[in-house]
Amino acid sequence: MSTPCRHSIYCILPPHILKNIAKNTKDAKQREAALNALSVDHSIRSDRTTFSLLGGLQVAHAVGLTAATPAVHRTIYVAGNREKLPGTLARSEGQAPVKDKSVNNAYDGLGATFDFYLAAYQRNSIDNQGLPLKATVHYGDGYNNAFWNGQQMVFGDGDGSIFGDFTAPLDVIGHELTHGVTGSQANLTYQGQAGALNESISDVFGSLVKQYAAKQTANQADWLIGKGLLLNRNDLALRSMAKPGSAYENDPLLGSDPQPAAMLRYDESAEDNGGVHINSGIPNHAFYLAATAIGGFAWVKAGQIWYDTLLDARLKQSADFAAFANLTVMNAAQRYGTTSIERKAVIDAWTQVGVPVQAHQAAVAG
Amino acid sequence: MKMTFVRSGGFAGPMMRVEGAVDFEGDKAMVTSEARKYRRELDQDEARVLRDAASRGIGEAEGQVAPDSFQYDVTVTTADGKTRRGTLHGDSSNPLIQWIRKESDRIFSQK
Repeated sequence: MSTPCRHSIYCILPPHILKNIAKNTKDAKQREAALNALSVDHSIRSDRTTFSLLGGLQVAHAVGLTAATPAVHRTIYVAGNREKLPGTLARSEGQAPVKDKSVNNAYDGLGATFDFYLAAYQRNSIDNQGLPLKATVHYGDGYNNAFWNGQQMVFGDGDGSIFGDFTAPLDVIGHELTHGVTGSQANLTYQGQAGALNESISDVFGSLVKQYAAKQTANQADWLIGKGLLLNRNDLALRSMAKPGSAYENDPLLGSDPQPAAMLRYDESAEDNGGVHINSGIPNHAFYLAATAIGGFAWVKAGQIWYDTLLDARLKQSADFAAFANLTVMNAAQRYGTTSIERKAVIDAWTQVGVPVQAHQAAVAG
Repeated sequence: MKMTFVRSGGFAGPMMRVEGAVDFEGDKAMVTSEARKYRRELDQDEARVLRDAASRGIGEAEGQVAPDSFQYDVTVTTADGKTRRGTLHGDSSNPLIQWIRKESDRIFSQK
């Protein structure tokens, strides 16, 4: 078996130097060796980060430490309706579209999400260091789910009667990739209020990916999550950030959306890791209220405040809604000023959903 | 022996919640879900495999919970009245999770 690292020097050089060698050398062998080493480095770095995202080591809060010129690096696999990951390679970065629509959906969706994070927040991929993006489609037989397993995104085809292809809605892809971003930053525990925040952050940025692609303002957006995923129910979605509890109502099969819009209806269930997909309605609605009060494109100001908070080293893994809310107020003050309309909009939003913020403390910190 | 289970979680969240019960009688078993008016009788082989999986499957150590994966809450009551409860996650090769997941999908699609 051949070793991919024939020139040992290239194995210990940092990526930016390898990239410079590959870019500037006139020696074809040197270029090839540098590119090979970069490729190996990508895999190792991917494995290391994966380990971190799984909780082995939390990735450092390293804003601005992006190693090289940001470039998306996507790899899409097909599982062939089995449950073995990652499956068979179907499309790599730069390759032309293939016949399989799900493969192309995943490829395009990952690209759109990468572009969004880079353009809006100068974030270079999941770990802000150019982590390659990996996804598997056609997972399982009629599998009604999509998830982030700590290493990659996984998408089922849906059962074909109730759910369609989970790669179809762009916000689903944005949601799953954002779980990776959260895992590499605050790494919020997937349980109780911290888990609901984890879910909400994925809904927030999943929705913003969709709004960014459609160039919609906060007032133009539908603020629905998973619209288009339910077959023969084109008007329905899984969640509504604008009006939690209204995404589906009295449906003979699905019942009614139980998401609360405020703390008064907080669900104390032990199911679903403490109701993470139900109680996420509360911070979801707070974001919607702040974004629409501020106006304009939601990713520019409200999204920036939430993103700053996600990167804030004071955000603990076990954060509850109140802790997160206070940090959003502090970050709004930090970025826009203590008397800004943005900070006031954030305070009003959390107050309206019943999450108390310590305005005085937030003002001082800001 | 009786086993009850609840599936929750998943990207779609509460709309995919399913609960069911399995009553073991002799070498057969019946699955029911009141909310969906669902009934299915298991043949001897499936009942035997499920009984074995339920007897062994809920005491396992938990791994890391993957965001948007399913949660399965399982309760097994044996003939002597003893009850064991467990919470399982994900899509592991655990035969009990595999069975509950497939049965939950059957129940979910019941109109």
